[in-house]
Amino acid sequence: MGLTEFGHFALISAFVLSLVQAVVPFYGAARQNMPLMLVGPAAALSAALATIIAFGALVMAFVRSDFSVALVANHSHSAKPLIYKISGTWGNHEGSLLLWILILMIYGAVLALSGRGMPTALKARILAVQGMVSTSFLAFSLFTSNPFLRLGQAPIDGKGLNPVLQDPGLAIHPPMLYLGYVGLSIAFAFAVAGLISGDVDRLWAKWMRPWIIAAWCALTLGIALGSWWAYYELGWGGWWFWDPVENASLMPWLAATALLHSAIVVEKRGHLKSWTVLLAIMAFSLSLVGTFIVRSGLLTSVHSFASDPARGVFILGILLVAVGIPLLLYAWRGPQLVSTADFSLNSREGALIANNMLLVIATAIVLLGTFYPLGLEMITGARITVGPPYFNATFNPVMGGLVMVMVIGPVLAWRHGATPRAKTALITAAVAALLVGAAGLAVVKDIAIGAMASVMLIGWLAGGIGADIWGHLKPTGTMGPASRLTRIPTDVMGMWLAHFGIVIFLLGAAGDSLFQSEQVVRAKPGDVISIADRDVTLERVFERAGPNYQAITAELSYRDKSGRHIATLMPEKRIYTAERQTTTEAAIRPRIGGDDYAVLGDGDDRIGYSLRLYYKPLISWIWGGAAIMAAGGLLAMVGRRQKAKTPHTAGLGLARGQP
Amino acid sequence: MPRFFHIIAIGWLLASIWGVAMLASPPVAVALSVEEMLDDPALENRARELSKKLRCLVCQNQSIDDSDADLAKDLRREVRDQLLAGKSDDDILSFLRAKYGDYVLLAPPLASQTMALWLAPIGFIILGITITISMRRRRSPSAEAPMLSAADKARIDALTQHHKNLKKRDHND
Amino acid sequence: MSRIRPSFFIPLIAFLGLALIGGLALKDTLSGSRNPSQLPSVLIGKTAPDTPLPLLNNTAAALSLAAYRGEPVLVNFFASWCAPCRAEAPALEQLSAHVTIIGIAYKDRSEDTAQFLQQYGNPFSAIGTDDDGRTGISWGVYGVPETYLIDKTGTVKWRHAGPLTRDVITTILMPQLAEMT
Repeated sequence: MGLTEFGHFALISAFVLSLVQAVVPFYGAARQNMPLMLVGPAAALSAALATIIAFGALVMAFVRSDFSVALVANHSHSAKPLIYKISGTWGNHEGSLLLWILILMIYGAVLALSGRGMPTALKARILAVQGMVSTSFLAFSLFTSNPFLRLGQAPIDGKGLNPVLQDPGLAIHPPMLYLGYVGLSIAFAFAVAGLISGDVDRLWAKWMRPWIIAAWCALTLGIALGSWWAYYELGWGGWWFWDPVENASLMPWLAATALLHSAIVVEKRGHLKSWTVLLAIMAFSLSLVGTFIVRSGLLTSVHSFASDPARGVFILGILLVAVGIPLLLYAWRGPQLVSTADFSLNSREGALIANNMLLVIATAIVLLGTFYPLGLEMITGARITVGPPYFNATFNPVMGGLVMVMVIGPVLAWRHGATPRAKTALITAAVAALLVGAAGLAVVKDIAIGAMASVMLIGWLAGGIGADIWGHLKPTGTMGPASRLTRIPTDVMGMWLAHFGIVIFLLGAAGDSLFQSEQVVRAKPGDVISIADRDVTLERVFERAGPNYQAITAELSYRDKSGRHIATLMPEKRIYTAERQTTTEAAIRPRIGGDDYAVLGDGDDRIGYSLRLYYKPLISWIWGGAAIMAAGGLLAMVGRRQKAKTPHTAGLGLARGQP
Repeated sequence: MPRFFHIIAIGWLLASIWGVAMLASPPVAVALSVEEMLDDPALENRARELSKKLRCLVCQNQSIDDSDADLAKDLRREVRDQLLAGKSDDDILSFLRAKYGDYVLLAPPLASQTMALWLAPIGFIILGITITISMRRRRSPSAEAPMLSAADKARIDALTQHHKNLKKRDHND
Repeated sequence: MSRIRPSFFIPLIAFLGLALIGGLALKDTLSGSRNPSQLPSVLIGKTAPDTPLPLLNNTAAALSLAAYRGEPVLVNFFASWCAPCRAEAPALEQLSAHVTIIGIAYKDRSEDTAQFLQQYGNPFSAIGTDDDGRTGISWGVYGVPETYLIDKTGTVKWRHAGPLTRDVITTILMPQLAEMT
């Protein structure tokens, strides 16, 4: 019992320490006072420790099923398996908020411990900004969403046994996503610190980049996990629904991708400084807007927590301060960062600017589509829906343009013109596109023009990446491919891997959207249904008792055209006895080539059973591609740290001694 | 870059705009049962396409094609009944709009109050192009440059040449 | 050197616009004047659709709304399988003293409807049966219960989705009824 109070006390301590972290180092940096500046790392570390204790106390309350804690009583149950008791800690608003704060603190602590070469004043200011963010969120938690509140009388058991929430995906998806959302706060802090001190330069960008990549990797994986979970575990049959909460995670991701690329220009060429600062502010701001969407209940979504407009007001307050003030700062001091461009548009800088423009346009489209219904309702009272058809018509073409640029950019030179390998790369990409188009025509009867154009675009990208790699590896007079490989910087290899991941992702998306097979039938036991060169026999439909549900299960035998048995799928409908909820469990057979997917509907032996069968080619490549993208990012991030140690960069003469 | 590359690039860009838009709504496990489906495949196709454009009003963000809800089933039937009666796609969408409001359409209609929504993406693209063009190399007004001595000039030339050689060797990593 | 470039203020202004929308929406939601789950009815101001439905207790005869022209009428879509309908039954009972209420049994079975009325009371002057929900679609019904207020000329004046609570009746419905008589 005392543990919960201890946790509560730890949370309050974290709040006080964050406040110190927010104020003292700022003052110290302004006054060039070293001891005061060093309070930053100390406060960050101790605040993180306090938060870890607080979070641990909450987890223990869930694990021990301490129903005197209101949160545990409302969201947990003694019969829950242990792992879901633990993950139940963040399956609600208050607990997930504490998780958010925990991750924020840990990022701050890691920053405090790392960055040894970083100028003290820069680090102090960054930690101070981090401290401001964490103080606001700790206030939000303590004053409106306190997880440690006790009930007057502990109930015998808790209310939280919703079967849908007992899922491994729910355990991992929020933490991974928060690692991304919250990670962007570091880049945000870099930007605000830079605006205040005016020291936005190549070193600043160099220090910032690993943090951007880390957050971007986590966000990529977090979004992919959510999508994967929706498809495989929840059986929704799709992987993206343009739901407002999904959009809330996509927008920071798009901004972070743009930031990733513009930071390269700052680091290598010293340009696009004010633009990068703006992007860093926008990326985290979009994370905060995402928090607002999910927790205020203003937009209906399958994902929302229990909506509470009162909390929405607090978050809006945080938003106004945390986003408004940096943007004001940007408006005032941003122009000082603008440097005269010394590059033409026909250059790598130009291509990276085009990349950024397209990504920002895409972000703006998603933002507009998500908020337009609300805005219109405020102005005219009219209620409209902005759904997938809108986003497909507007967002997809912009992404298509980006895929075009992805091939051209890497083969352009800095400042002006094309590299010697540009011509080969572009011709290869074009030829690859044509070959894929021809293959499409040959393989798929009456292929739609749109479908053909999509796959040709993928061919273009694959060809372009391949040509770029070959251009770097082909034997020159003095070196063979192997030795050339060792000379390629790791971040270039990371880029190739990440871009290749996009090819895989697009193949998965195209395979599923364009080449899916479907059969909707009513079948009696013994009937055979043909789909995608498989013969599916409905063997029988039977009842089965699960741990907390009754199920009606269909047994489907899949055979190939020669009669050989491939697989057995068992889709079912479940009736959870306690909650009186019915769910449909799709049966999925994931394979690299494609998924078999089966859903059981209503019916009986007499009239037959409604069955929906699908074959979804390459759909798992969607998530495989995302994982490869994240791996590419990881490679680039790790590689950078190694590169920093080589003497080459030390001699750049950019070391600035003064804080 | 040679001009024909520019032409190819623009050509593919336009093709990709159409093509990628075809990566349309990832299909969801539909909620149809076979009895609902019409016998005429062309009509049934139209029914499916129309269903994908209509929102299930009692669900969170699903089309009536995807939803198991009773109302979705009723609306699917309504769509098919009207198709059998010979109504056009627009007639059916207008009918449902007249009963349930614009909310029932998953893509907002082109009306005065949604003009901004549909035109904004084009506006963003134009804005993006404008900003990009404004970022290109500008000749900064040259201040009075101090005169260089001959020795300085020779040093500058030597260094520039050395830099060029380095650049060539590194192949613009 | 502090150059002020107006274009740098655009992100701030755009953000403030967004915050304004969010703030207004929050204010309206908190004050209760906005309810995201309530769809405004498109029929308001238009003539109520006709309801040629068989009557519950006499399937040969048809329910006709036109017969009620000249007095305000409430049309209530309900069903025996609908839990909130039971909750609003007492309120409807009390209302029936002030205004004629017509019931439409939505996608229900006659025996079940009859039993529901026996159990929870029958405030309706007439009851039509909409077995397949088609009439519901023509009224833009998206759930039960839903209640429509029709004036003397047969125009739809107001629609409430969800059960009628005492609060809604006293603050919104009764004033409108008072205006009509």
